[in-house]
Amino acid sequence: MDVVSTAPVELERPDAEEVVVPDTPWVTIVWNDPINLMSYVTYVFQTYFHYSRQKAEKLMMDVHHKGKAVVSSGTREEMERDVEAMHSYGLWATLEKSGKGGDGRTGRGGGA
Amino acid sequence: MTRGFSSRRSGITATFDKAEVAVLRGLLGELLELLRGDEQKPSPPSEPTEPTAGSPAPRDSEEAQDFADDPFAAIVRHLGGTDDDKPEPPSDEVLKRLLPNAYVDDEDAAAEFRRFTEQGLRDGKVTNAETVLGSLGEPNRKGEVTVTLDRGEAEAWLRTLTDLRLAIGTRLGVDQDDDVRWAMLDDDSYAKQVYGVYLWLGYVQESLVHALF
Repeated sequence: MDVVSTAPVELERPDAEEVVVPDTPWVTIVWNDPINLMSYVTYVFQTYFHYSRQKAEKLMMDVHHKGKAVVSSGTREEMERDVEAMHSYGLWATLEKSGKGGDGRTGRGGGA
Repeated sequence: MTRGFSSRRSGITATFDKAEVAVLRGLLGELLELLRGDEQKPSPPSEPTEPTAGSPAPRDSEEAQDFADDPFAAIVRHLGGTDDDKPEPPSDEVLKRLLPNAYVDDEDAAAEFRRFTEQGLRDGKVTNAETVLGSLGEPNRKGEVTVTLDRGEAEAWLRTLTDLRLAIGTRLGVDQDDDVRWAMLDDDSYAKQVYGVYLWLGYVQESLVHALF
């Protein structure tokens, strides 16, 4: 093309920053600690998440034996609410993207 | 010694003897001081450092002082780590456990989360501790106090018992399956007596969870 146009050329492929990446689900993780009673942890999982006794006990045993367990998943906002609730019960919980470390894209230039 | 909580028609009830009531009042006072007072530099224990609605702190601290001659209460008074002479780190260690980080790998996100949630969490813990204090009614002739709780008060007790165990456990450096280490300590040692309080709180909490289930 000999002619140089001063008008911006419209590309069919949208700009990379405008691509909408679907929200990777976030998860709430409860960590084991040497202080909280197993019965209490089970109670919290039943009361707050409305899990059955069986499921609550299983999650509690996972926390106890494996050191941590995923107790819920959803949007980041939902997980922050769950983590805050866990802290209000005295459990130690954190949230993170599920499959964290897999895609390498944080979308915000964040990450430590 | 208390038989712990049980579920009755009137509610969730337990009777505590005079010494247990004294320990509870002392611990609750320390916890409230810790939750309310950490953000400012050391101040006299009898004054709340943050304005809170209907704060009973002066009266509770006075009661703690009243037990000054009681060695058990003296032990309890040192648990908060907010003594004027002490540097902040012990308080921070306990507060860090009571108000932990929400993100493992992201300090900025953790700080943001804390900025939005910490005050609410603190306030909630203060309210719960005050509810527990408020439920400790008048003692009978033997100095015993019987508490009868509705569901809301029982939840406050559960959460506050947890906070107390977290505070003491963190200060003591409790670890998983470390019973042997504690058994080997001299019975007269300060740490072992405090550990006894820690176990007692666990026993009370266990009974409350079972009464609620």
